[in-house]
Amino acid sequence: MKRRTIIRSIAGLPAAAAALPAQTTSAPSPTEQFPKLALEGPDTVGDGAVRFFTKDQFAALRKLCDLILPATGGRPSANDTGAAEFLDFLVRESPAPVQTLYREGLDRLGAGFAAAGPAQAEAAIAPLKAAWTYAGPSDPFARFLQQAKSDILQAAMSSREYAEAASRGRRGAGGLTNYFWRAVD
Amino acid sequence: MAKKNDHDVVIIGSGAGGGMAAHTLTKLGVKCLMLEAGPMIDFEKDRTLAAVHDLPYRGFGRPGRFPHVTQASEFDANLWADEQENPYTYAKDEPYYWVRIRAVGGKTMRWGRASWRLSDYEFACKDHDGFGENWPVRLADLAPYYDRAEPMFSVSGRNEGLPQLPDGKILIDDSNDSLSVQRFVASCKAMGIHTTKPRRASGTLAASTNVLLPGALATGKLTVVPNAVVRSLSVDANTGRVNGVHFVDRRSKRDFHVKARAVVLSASTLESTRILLNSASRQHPNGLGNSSGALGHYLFDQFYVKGVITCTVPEAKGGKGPRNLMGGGGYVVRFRNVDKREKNFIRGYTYDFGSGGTPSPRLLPLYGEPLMKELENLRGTGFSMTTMGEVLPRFENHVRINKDVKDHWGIPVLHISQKYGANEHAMAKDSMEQAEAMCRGAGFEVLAKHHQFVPPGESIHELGTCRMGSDPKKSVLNGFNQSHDVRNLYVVDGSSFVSGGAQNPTLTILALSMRAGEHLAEGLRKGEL
Repeated sequence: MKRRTIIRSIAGLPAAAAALPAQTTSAPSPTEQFPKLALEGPDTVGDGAVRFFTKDQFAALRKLCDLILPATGGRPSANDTGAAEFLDFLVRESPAPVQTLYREGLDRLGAGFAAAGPAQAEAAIAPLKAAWTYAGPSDPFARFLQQAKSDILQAAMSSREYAEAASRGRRGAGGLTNYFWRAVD
Repeated sequence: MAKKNDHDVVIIGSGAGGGMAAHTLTKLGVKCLMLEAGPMIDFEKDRTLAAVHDLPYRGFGRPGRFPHVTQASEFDANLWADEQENPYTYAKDEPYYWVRIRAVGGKTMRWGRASWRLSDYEFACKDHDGFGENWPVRLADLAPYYDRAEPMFSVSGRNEGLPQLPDGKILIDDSNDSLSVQRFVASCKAMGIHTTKPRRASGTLAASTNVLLPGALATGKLTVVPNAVVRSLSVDANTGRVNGVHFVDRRSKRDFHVKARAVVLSASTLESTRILLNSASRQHPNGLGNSSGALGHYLFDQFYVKGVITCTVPEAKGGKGPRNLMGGGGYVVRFRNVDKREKNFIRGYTYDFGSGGTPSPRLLPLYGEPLMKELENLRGTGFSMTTMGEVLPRFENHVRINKDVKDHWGIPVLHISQKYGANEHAMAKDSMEQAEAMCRGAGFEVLAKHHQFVPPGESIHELGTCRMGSDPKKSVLNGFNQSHDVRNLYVVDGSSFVSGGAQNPTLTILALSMRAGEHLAEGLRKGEL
């Protein structure tokens, strides 16, 4: 190999590149450009699959979502935002005590809860009307309801659907935006 | 390119203590090598604006990733030290929340920037109530260093001329208070209690990386090595003095050793003590510099009662109040055990308070449409307070090495044991009652109150375990943060504190480190080390 060729090889240049006139190389070819491509997140194209809760548990969770955050004032309901499907995923990923809290709480609401009328449903979740305490309720079912209320609200209000509704109602983008820090090796 | 062993001092850690030590020493002509356990964060490359709904967990964060770091959000989760790589242990009934950042800049990358001086109520605490030990320094000793540290960090606030909250060389904040804050201040005044503006370093980031390290690097006398996890300090077998540092590369796990004429340890309160305990040798069988037996003991912090009270300002409901009714905040100055003694507890506490914001839905016993209507009604009406209380340093609150558990690099971890006692409980309860009186006096409606503090450690103000003192039999360091036993070893972080008051500790760490740096430079110049 000639000396010039060796240098080109070390520099990572194709042997022909150095032979091209400067005018030709100044306009980058498409293979040297890296434009930002328009991409979408998975929740814009697909519905979250339900893999953790049983059919009855998930039906009870959806009912709970309807009660905690119905559609109001031009904002979507919790179920419009896919909050129940998201919580199925989040709880599946959570430590065992959280999974137990949810499963037992939804089982306590029971299979009939999804079809319950307003009065019956309200009675079932009456512990949500108890005054706040720092320690929270000692009864696991009441604790589940408080946790679910908080999670359903956060899951819904942090959703794309909620942000879009907020941005329609006011100027500027809706929803929380902040700096995301990438992982550093 | 740096040369091998071409330095006088090895500084371990790059946060407030290490950054100030590097700044001070290099300006005095001392060549320093800084070892930082974490990586360098690049503000341009390593962060990007993102909407919460674009995050994988909608802002919840990956469940179980940070069981002890309540401050971590999904946005900044990658900044906090990984709990799986950096484990520690505690007894089942004594949870300890050890909150860490391993990166160049340390916790200054995320600190709240509150910058208060300690007073002689802290430095001479034993003289006031007979508990514990006095510091080997007084405010007069540290004041010249506070005077220089405050302008470096552009601290702003208001001087009040109070002995329990010493004035500083600060930018004076004479901005107007909102009407709700004015009412609160008047209520406190009627109770004989002082308030003041927040006192904090200015700017969105007042970190070691942009305030301290650039100047030190510009001298040409500082070399910074990220990803260098310190295993232990090496000791000269003849003299018993420190002669180097064993460290391991964070990414490859390859071991290294560097020589040192002197070492400045500033790896954070508990990491520094861990390194000293892991540096036991024939000359120092109980840990390096631990002839007193005090190393690892007298762990304390500041207890926080987060949201000790949450109120609403009635006139602001429904968005009806005047425009300047809500907003802003401030600080309630310590008022307990200043002029007269309390029956139920010694020492004191302070509060941060803030006006504006909407109370959390969890505080409202509602759901569905009534909840949403009430949240709309209460939008921007909130007034809340958080208590920050002094914790007594007790021998039994301690850390020790747990040889059965090792971190990602094979280094034995800490077992941490800290409990709050009757004094802290009494103080927290009193703080809730006083907060309620202040708020009711201002005409606010109380929505929620409590006096449960967060677990020890969560305030991120862990202090002690390598304390200073005049008596080498009771303390690890002298009044210049220099080891009593090992003269070429300095420890300049929060582990050196003897007591902590209720003031955020960073400014005092900066002042102590600057003073220690000058002492070390003088010792090197005179050939005493």
